[in-house]
Amino acid sequence: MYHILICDDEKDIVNALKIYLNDSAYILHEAYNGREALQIMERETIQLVLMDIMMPEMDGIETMVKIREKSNVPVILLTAKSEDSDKILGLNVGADDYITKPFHPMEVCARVKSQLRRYLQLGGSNARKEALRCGGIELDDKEKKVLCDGEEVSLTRTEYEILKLLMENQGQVFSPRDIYRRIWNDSPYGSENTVAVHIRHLREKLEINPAEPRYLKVVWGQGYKCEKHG
Amino acid sequence: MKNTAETVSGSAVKETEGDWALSEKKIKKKIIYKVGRILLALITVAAFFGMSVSELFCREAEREGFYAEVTPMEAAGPYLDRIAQEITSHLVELVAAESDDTVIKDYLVSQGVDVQLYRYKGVYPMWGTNSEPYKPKITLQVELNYYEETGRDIWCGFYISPNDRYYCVYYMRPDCPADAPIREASDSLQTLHDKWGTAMRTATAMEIAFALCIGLRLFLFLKKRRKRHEKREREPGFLVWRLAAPSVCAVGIILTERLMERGIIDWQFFPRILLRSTAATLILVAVLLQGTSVSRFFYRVFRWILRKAGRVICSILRKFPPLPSGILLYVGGSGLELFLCFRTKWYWALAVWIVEKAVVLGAGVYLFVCGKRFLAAGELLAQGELDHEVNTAGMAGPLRRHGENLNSIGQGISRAVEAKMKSERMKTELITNVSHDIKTPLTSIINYSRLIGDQKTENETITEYAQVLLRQAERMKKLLDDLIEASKAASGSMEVHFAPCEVDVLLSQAVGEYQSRLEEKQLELRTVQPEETIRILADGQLLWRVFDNLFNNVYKYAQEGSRVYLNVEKAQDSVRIIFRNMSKFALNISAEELEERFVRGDKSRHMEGSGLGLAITRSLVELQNGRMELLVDGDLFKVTLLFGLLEDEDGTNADNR
Repeated sequence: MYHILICDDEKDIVNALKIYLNDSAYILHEAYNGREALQIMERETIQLVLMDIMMPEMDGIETMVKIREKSNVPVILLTAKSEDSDKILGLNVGADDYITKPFHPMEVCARVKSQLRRYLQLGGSNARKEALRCGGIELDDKEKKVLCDGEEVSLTRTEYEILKLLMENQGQVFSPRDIYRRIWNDSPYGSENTVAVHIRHLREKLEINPAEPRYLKVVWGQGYKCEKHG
Repeated sequence: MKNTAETVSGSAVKETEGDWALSEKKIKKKIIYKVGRILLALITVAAFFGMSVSELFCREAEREGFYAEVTPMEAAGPYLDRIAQEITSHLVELVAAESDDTVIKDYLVSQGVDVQLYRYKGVYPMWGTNSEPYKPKITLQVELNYYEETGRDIWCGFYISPNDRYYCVYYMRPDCPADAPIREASDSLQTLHDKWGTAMRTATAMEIAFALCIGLRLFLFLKKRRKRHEKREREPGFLVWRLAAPSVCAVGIILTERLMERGIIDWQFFPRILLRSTAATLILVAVLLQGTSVSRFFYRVFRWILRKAGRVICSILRKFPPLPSGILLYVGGSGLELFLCFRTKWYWALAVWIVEKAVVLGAGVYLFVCGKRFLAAGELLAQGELDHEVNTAGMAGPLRRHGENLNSIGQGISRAVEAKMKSERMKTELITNVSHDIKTPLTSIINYSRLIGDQKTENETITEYAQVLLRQAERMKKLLDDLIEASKAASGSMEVHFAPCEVDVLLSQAVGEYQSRLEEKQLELRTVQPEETIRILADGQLLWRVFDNLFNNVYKYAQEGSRVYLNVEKAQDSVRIIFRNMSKFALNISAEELEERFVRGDKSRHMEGSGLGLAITRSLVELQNGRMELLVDGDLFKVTLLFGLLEDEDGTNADNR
C-alpha cells in the first residue's frame, strides 16, 4: 500500500488524477495548496507527491524546498509552464520528475509507478555492483539483461550494444559515425540514419515520453549521450 | 535636568554662532571682492594714464632733439663737426638750386662721404613732428641718433624737402675722434636719450600692467559668468556683446590716433592726451557703474544695436544664394589681401597674411571637427545605435541646429523602436500568460472527456461525442503551444545558444526520428549531400525544431507514395538545405500566403494543425541568422534554408576522409 499525496489548487484536476490512479495499491491523499500538503506530510507517511507549481498561499517550488528539508520522498511536479527554464528550476530544487499539463493518463500512471519502484525497491538495495546503472535503467552485462524501473525490457542485439556503449560512457556525446564504427565495426558511409532509427526505438522502449527523454538524450547536430544521473 | 538644558542651549548658541560666523565670512568675502574690484579698476585706469603720459613724454623728448624742425645749420651746428657743416651748407644750396640728383650725389661722393641717397615721390609717411610736408620752402630735418653701444659714433641724417622731394642723407663717421665737439653733442644727446629711455621703459611697464589688469578682469568676468550661466540667469549671447563694447572702444581710439598721425586730423587741436584721458575716464566710469541700472541700460542699448545690426547683416546674407555669395566673399577677401600685399609695407601684408591664415585655419579646424562629429553620429545612427548624441558643445548657429536635429532624429527613432519592442514584448507576455491560464481548464476538459470515453456504456454516441471533444481539445492544446512558440520566436524573446552544428549529423538524427512515420505514408526519402562534413553555427535544439516542423509538414501534406527530396548544397561560404515534396492538396495559393499565420496548405482546414508551422520555422531560422525561402510551383512545394558556413580549419577537415 503506497500513500500518494496529490496537491493542486484545481479540484477537478485532483479528482481526475484520483480517478487515473484508482488502484488498490494506492492510498490517495489530497491537498489544495502547499500549506495543506505540508500538514498532511507531517501526519502521514507519504511515499510519493504529485504537486502543481502555481498554487495560492504557498507555491510548488517553495513547498518542494520545505519537503526536501526533511525527506527525500519522490516528488513529481505538475505544471502548465512548459518552458525549459521552469523545468530546470523544478529539477534543481529537488523534484524527481515533472509532467506538463495537459497530461495523458497513461503518462501519469507510468511516471508514478516508475518513481515508486525506484524509491522503494531499488533505492534500498543496489547490491549488484557489476550492473551498469543510469537512473531507473539497469544493464546487467553478465546476464545480458536490461531493467527499466525494475521491469525487464527486451532489446535487439544492436540496441543492447548501443545502450551499453552509451551507459559505459555516461555524459559523453557520441556522433552517429562513432557509434556505427564501434557497433558495426564498419565504415558508416551513408548509413548514419540506421543509428538514428535504432536510438529512436531504444527511446521508445526505455522512456516514458520518447519526445522528452530523461536518460537517452539527443544532442542535436552532434550526437547522442546517456545523461549522468547521481 | 538643568545640565541637559544648558547643553542644549549651549549647542544652539554654538549653532547660531556658527551661522553668524558663516554669514560674517560671506560678507567679508563679498566686501573683499567688491573692494578688490574697485581697486583693480583704479589700477587699470592708473596704468592707462601712466602709459599715456609716459608715451607722450617720450614723444616730447623725440620732438625736442630727435626730430627738430629747425634750419639745417641751426640743427646741425652744435652737433656736427666742421666737415659735416660744410657739406650740409653746400647741400642746402644745391637743393635750393633744384640740382639734379646725380649732381648732389657726385658732390657727396667727391667729399668722401659714404652716401645713401633716397628720393621719394608723393607723401613720405613721416612719423614725427612734421605737420606740413608740402611747404614750398626748403626744410631740412636733421636726425641725430646716439648709439650707446659704440659711444662715439654719430650718424647724421638730413631730410631735405623741396616741394614733393625728400632727400635723406646719412653722414657716417665711424672713426670720429673722442674729443669735442662730438663729445659735447653726445653728452647733450645722452641726457635727452636718458629722458627718452626712462619714458619709454615706464610706458612699457605701464602697458604690461594695463594688459595684466585687463586679463585679470576678463578672467574674473568669465568665472562669474560661468557661475551665472550654470544658474541659467543669462542668455548665451551675453559674453559677445559684453566683450564687444570695450573692443569697439579700443579700435576707435587706435583708428583716431592713426588718423592724427597721418595728419588728417589736426594733432595740435586735439591732443592725444585729451583723447586718452577721455577714454580712461569712460572706462573708469563704466567699471564703477558696472552692475548698476545705468550700465545695464547702456548695455541693453548696446546689445539692441548689435542685435539689430547682426539681424540686418544676416538678412542681407540670406538673400544671396549660398554659392555665389561664397564665391563673392572669397574673391573679395583675396582681392583685399592682394591689395594689402602690393600697396602697403611688407610687415602690414605679413600681419594680414598671418591673421588671415590663422582665421582660415581656425575656421577649417572648426568645420572639420564639427563635420567629423556629424559624420560619426550619422554613421552610428545608420548602424542603429540610436543612443549616440552629437556633442554640440562649442558649435554655433546652423551647425548647432544641425547637431540638435540629428540628436532629435536619433531620439525619435529610439523612442519609436522602444515603443515597438515594448508592445511586442507585451504581446508575447499576454499570449504566454493567457495560454497558461487556458491550459488549466483545458487539462480538465481533456481528462474528463477521456474519462467519459472510457466509460462502459451501451450508448455508442456518447463515446463518439466524447472522442470528438477529446480530439478538438487536443487540437486546441497544440494550437496554444504553437501560438506561444510563434510569438516567442517572432519577438526574439527566445534564448539562442549558438554552437557548432554538423548538418549531416542533424539531418540523420531528424531522419531517424521520422523514418517510421514516413514509411507509414509510403514516402520515399532521397537524400543528396556532400561527402564532407559541413558545420554551421546554430542552436541545435532550435534547428531540430525547424527540421521537426518541416518533416511534420512533409508527413502531413506530402502525397502518399511520392518521393521526398532532401538536398544539402555547399556554396563558397554558405550551405543550402532544400526540402522538396509533392503536395497532397492543390496549392493554389502563393508562397507568401502559405506562410502567413493561420493559412494552411488545405483551405478546407480539415487537417490537424495550427497553420503556424511555417511562420514559426521562419522565425526560428532567422533567430539563428539564417534565411528561409519558400517556393510553390504547381504541386511542388520547396523550402530552402540558407545558413552561413562555419569556417573552422580543424572542423571542416577533421572528419574528412
